[in-house]
Amino acid sequence: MAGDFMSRKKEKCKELMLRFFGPANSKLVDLMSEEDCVRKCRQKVAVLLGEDKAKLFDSIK
Amino acid sequence: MKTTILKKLLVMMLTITIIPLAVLGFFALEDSKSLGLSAAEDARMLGELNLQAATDIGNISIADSMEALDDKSIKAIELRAYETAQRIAEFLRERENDVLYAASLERDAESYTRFLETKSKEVWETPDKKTDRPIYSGMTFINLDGIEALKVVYDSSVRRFISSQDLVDVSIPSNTEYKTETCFSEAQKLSNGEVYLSDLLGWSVSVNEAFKGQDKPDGERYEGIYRWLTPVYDGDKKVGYLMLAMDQEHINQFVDNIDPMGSYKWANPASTGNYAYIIAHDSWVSQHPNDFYIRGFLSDGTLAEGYGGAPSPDLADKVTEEELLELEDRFLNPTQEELERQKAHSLEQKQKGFIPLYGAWLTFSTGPGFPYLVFMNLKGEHGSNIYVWEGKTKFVAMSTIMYGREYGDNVVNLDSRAGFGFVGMGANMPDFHGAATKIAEKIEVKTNVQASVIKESIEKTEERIRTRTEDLGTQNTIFLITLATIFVVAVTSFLFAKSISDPITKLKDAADKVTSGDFDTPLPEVKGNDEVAELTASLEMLIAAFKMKSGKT
Repeated sequence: MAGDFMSRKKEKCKELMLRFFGPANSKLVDLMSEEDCVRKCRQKVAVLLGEDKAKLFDSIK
Repeated sequence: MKTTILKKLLVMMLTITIIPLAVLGFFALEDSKSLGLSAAEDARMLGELNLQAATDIGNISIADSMEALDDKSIKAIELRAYETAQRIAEFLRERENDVLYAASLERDAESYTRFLETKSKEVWETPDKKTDRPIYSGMTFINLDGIEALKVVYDSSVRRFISSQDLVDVSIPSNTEYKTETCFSEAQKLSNGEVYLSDLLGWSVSVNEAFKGQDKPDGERYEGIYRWLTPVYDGDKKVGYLMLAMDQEHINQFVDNIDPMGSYKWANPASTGNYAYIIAHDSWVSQHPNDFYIRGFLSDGTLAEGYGGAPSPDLADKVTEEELLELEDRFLNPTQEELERQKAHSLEQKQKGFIPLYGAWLTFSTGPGFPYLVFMNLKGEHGSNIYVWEGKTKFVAMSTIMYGREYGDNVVNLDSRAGFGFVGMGANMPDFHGAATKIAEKIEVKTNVQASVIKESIEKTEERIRTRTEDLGTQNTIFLITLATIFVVAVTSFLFAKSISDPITKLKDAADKVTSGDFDTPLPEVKGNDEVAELTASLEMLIAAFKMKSGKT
């Protein structure tokens, strides 16, 4: 289902954001939309931690 | 001193909440006081208006009642005077019929006696005794020359009629009983069917010795008569005159035993101010509870002079309408000189002991009040007036005794609208107002009770409101509510400010540790998703970035 698919995207983002930054950033993912969360998280990670780590977001489909 | 966010928030919140609350509380407290005082004032004013209304209604009721009852009393006394005058007129009419009938009787002692014996009427003689008393004390046939030819008289010692042998020539006044009588010459002027009625004839009684009703029941009575005369015919021929002597006691009975403010009672005294009397058509008193006021003859055969004298022309003299008006003006408004004369004469008469009253000439004593009644009588009127007599202000109703030529009767010498005279019924003013005064007193008592109830109610209400207003409990309640509200607001403000400042403080403390090199310092747990949460997230990112850059990851 589309919803489940999208939830999984946010879950994945939360997981990565928790790993890279911490619980506060993970929680912020909840405020993002399913469409934007991957892009926004990837962008922050890319700027602050580098493109290598940001690529982990590319696997999220 | 460091100004923290908490302090700022607290100051700000307390400023915008507690100060207005305190101000509101203060005004509420003040308002409650002024509201109470104003309510007390309003209650007092309302009560006073109510009291004024009750008093006004009471006064109006008193005035209305007095007017209505006085009016009723006036009408009642006027009606009583009128009815008495009517009864007297009817009585006189019956006597007129008597004399006309008697003129047709056989001229013998037996017939005269039989006639006289049928004519009697009850008289109230003593407080406990009423007896039949002959209406006539004598009956005489007088021939054309004036000589008494047949006379039957009442002998009170044997209480029966007897034939009298004491026959005189009455054409000569000195031969008459009262020495100056002119009845015979008056009778000579009469035509068939006409009647002459004399003025009251009797011996004067002095002030000191006179009967004064119940005030002096053993006093000397005025014993007078009225003479009735009519010509006697045999067929068409005049043969003489029939004369009846009517006992004046029967006229007395109509007024002597009346209390105008009460009922009937024997010999109602004049000292109460409530009594009735008769003033003859010529203005002389003819019936009065005080017998010394009735005009009569002195022992020398002359008539007693009036108390204040008597004017000339006398009202008994024939006067025209114009003259009557002039006399009225003169009698009611005498000159000072005339008043002085009246007063001087009254003193002289008092010394002599005989003070018969001439009603039209009493202005020196009663003001114009009494003479005014006499002139009402001369016009044939009925009504009332007020005057002062013997120190008492009196209301007097008068009614003309409508017996005379003007009223269709055969009596020739009563030929004016004054008729036989008038009945006066006097009422002492306090007694006259009696009914009205009683009602007024009742209303006044009721009004006063009502007024005191209202007054008491006003005072209680005012006191209650003032007590409640000034009651510390009420003020304390307002104060405590304000204080409690301020406390709740302060605590709430504190908690609210703390909920904002605490996460920031924790974050600041964590950031301080990070800047001290402790990158593993845990950041405060994020609750909610507000700006603090975002700030925490940003710090997390900065720490992560810094760790990576410094190769600590």
